[in-house]
Amino acid sequence: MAEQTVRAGTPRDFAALTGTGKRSRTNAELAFRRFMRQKLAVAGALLVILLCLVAVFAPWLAPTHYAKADLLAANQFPSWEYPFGTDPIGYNMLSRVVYGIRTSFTVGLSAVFISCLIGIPLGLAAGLRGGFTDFAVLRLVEVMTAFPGILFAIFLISVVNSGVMSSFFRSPTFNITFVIGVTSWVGLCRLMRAQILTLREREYITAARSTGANELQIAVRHLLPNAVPPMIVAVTLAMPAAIFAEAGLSFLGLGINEPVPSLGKMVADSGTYIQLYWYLGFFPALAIALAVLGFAFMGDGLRDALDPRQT
Amino acid sequence: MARYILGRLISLVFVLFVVSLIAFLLMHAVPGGPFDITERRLPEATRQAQLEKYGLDKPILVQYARYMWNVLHFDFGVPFQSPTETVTGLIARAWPVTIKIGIPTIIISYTLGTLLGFIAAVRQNSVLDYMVTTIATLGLTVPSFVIATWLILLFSIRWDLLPSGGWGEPKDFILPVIAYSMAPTALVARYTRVSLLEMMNADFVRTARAKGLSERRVMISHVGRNALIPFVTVLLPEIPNILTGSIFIESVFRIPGLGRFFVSSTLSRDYPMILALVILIAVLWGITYLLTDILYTLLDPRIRIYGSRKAG
Amino acid sequence: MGSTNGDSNEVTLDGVLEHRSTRRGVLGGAAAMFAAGGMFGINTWRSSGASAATSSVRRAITTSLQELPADAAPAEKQMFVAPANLTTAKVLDFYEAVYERPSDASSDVFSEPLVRINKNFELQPASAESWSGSEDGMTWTFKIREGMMWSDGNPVTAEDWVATFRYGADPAHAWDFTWFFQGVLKNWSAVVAPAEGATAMTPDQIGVAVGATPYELVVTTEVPAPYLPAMLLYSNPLSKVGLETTGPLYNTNPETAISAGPYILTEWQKDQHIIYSKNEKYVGGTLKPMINQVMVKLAAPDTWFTMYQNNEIDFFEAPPPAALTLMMSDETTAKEVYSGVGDFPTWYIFFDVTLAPFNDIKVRQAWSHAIDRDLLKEAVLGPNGTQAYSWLAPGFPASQREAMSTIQNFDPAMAKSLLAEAGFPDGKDFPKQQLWLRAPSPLDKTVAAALASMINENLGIEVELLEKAQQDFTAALNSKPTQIPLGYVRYGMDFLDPFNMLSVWLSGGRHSWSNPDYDAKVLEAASFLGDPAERVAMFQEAEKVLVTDVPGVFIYHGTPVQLIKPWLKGEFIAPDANGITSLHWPGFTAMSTVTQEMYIGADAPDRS
Repeated sequence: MAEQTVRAGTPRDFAALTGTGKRSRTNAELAFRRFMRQKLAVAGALLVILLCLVAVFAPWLAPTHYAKADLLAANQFPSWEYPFGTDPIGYNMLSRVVYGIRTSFTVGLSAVFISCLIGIPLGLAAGLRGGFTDFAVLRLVEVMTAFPGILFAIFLISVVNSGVMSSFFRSPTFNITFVIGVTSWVGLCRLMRAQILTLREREYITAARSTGANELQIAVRHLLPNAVPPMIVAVTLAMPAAIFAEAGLSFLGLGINEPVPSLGKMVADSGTYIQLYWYLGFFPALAIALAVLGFAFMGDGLRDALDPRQT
Repeated sequence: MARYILGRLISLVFVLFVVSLIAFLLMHAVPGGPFDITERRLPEATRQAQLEKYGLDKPILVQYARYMWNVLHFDFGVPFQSPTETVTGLIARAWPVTIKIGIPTIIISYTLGTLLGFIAAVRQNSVLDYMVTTIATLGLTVPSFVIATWLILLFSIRWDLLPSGGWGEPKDFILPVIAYSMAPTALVARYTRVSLLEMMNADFVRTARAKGLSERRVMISHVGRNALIPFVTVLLPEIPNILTGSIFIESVFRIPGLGRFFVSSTLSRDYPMILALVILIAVLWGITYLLTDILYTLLDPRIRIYGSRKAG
Repeated sequence: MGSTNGDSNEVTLDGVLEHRSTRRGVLGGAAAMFAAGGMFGINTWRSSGASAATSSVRRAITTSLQELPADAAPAEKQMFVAPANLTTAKVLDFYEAVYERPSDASSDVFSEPLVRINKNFELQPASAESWSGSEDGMTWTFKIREGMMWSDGNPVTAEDWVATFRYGADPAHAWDFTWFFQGVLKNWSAVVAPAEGATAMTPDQIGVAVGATPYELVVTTEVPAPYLPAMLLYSNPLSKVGLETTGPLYNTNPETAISAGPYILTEWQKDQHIIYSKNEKYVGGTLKPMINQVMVKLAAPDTWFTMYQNNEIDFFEAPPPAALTLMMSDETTAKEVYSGVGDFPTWYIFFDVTLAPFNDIKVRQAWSHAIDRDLLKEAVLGPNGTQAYSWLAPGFPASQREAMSTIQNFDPAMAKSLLAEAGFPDGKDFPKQQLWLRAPSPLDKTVAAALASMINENLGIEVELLEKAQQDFTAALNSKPTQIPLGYVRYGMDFLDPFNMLSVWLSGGRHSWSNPDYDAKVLEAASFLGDPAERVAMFQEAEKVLVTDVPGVFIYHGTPVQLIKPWLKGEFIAPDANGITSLHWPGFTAMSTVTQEMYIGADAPDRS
């Protein structure tokens, strides 16, 4: 049976009308099917789900606690007993990588969440209200963009770690999440604003207005749902960026502190060992790569799937 | 158009002031000063003398005002990290080195990237597409210093073909440029693929095909031009990124460029240098965005400068 | 000195350590031609900003001051290449800034100090032919050797030292080593750190003056100072004329460089390298080096090992653990690994004893008993150090390691019981700790992680590691009150006298510990002019107070490892009186005889 794109009415009505007895699919279901057809996207999604499971079940999956050092078993190459080897003070690398994934995902997801909390409302406000709000938000965006990202992140981390407002900034993990979140909302804001600006000129909005709906109702019932798909894509693709940012800051020694494992820090510290104990950097780097690949492919797939003009 | 450009430039100046003020305040919010590197504590009088020498004993806003006044006379002061030269002198010496690495990187990564993206788009969903996409994305996920270290291990230590670093001879360029190009190539490839795909399935392209135009004509004159828009949105801003250097590449290959000063200035509280770098970046970005917007109007007259345009 | 891994130590890159062939020259050159010719044209590639004194300056130097042995490379090729940290190579003169010189490689060669040391740390005359102290130990007269000349034609006289010391004391200069002479040189403290309300004295009032003749330097001290000649190891003078005409930074530019030493600055490519060449105008001096040029390569420390493997440098100190393992794994390269006493550094954990919970001595004692230094040495340190239970390192005067080793010994049971007595059984309720680290190297990070894990295991206390940049750390450490509750750091000697090392722990110093008994003992011993053996005993008593009160837990005495290429030959690498072979501290500088004991063998790679 041919699939039909639903234009009006509910799937049930349509089925009843045509007498096919087969329920036609909603947009969401169609998008899902398009997504599933792209092999890379599916692979990516599976990877992400797998890594999320690892992150959640880390305490059960890791053979030892991440801070359990065994000096006499230091610098072991990968073997059955230590599948990822051990590091110079005898930490089991498998445990470190598993917990490291947990840290990266925690920091990444939380940072993206903070970015959304800041960027989306700002973008919405700018797009909807226009005028001065738009002007102010755009200037803020300009200033944020003009500031060299690294400098700003280093500054902010130094200030935050130095004990200012220490009741709020109490753990290095939170601090770095905060800093990454606060420095990455700009893209989401601009995207949201651009979406709103495009969509609000569309016909169905005019139609809604003509029926007397007020601005808030229009925003919630019509604009937001249509603005969502590209935002989903953007948020998915923001995760790798956050993971990378955490890795980079940890590389500079400004991020997570030992003994909490951070994949980025592990890769950074493995630099001097690369000629000899290659596995110290290889497995953490592989974990980062898989996480980023997974989100990237998933994001690509979502973008292709949610675009109604794809064949 | 001229009015618009003027407006943007004025806005840029405003942004510069705001950005430098924020930088200034942030710098002074971080504890510790530029001179605290001694093993044992220096006497108070000495510390005071140090501060006075560099004008750091005055209230913050006074310092800021003095600094900006000098900047307006194009005097950016003396970097604490290198007191025998001026900030302008240091940037004039270090930035060209970074640019010399940056330009070949841009050329190589943009051409190679576009080619790869094109192949992937034209052969969508084939094995070739998957391979190219995976390799391209991998290029983004492996950190540049890891690539750099592996290149040195192979080409320099193991096979003794190229120097492990340093600067001054043409062969010092090869490994750094290769290492530096990986990520931008990947980025360009991904975006080229996506935007080509979007265009290839767009309405106006279907119309062109329906009209009977050859595939080639369709690709070049219709797809090409419109694909440039997202290209310009995302990829033009990559250029200032590349031109301001990679800290890791320059450190691993011992290249005397500008990259390391971003981190070293912040960590060593080199206030004049930090401010100069902040202003430099702000100017670069401002100009880049201005160019981007101008290019938009040239590429697609339907786009108005303010207001509705597609996500980007 | 085996590796920590037993037999499973495979080196995964075979052929890494093969003898170099000249493939690089051929292929590298071909690639270069392609790049240069094909793309932009030759001219763009020349290094920019080259001053006149750059590429052509590697002029042929045809002789050395000392006759070269039979297996030496010819005089033109006598160049010593060593790396220095990019970020600390701002000036080259001690009295301009101490912590901003490339002292890892070589510095302070542009004049001769009053005294120098040999590899047995014995004081020898340098610029000063002889010296004597008055009965009360407070007036010291140095007879300056006549006939030494600056390269600008002026003679070296006592005036140069007076000008240099006055420059060091000048508050406007803000010298980063002013603490060194506080309480020692007369009126120095009154100039640099005047007491509240008192007017500051001016630099010309300090106790360094010209004596009866222009070649006599008279130094007066605040207290009897038998250690003064040893302190004056640090006395490379600046040229008085140079200070007056060009200013103190005259040695940052080859065009204004002046030298009375065996080398003079001939090239400085910012962020790349610095070159000193033989000073042809060196006259009347005491050093006869065989090396004719020194190249200091500026690079980040984590690139030094790669440079060493590629023969781009001849020597460097403190290779990271992986590099050391690699070098030790092959018989040939293992011969290039040396380990010496360095500057007798001690690495230690320190507490802010004014804050809870470390204000309770039982807690500190518990920590000192919870560290298994033997395990640390075996598993982590290897040749990099030996276990420390006290402050003064073995070989340092007044060191009494054996006697002190029972006070802070490893005893986990005692540690646990002490902690329980202090109110934290099994670490319960003990606040989570943060251990501050100062710009840690890979070895430091490993050691700190091991320490944290030992504390956790033996005491049940969680310790987080805070890696701080140099500036953040020292700023926090040196502020009053100190802002570091718990940290891990090192201290190495400045001169060879127990007073120097022990003075780190005096009240008002960099740590918050304050013990009047300790202060009294140290200061009394420092100024003691009687029997040297008695003096040593006095210092040892002071050390006992220090170790017993545990303001710090002593972890290890560093024995810095050095990698030295086989073509660095000469007397400098012969064993010293204790049988130790290394490039002795302070390295290739006019403060050490090493400068004239080294030559480049004929088997060195061609670096022109």
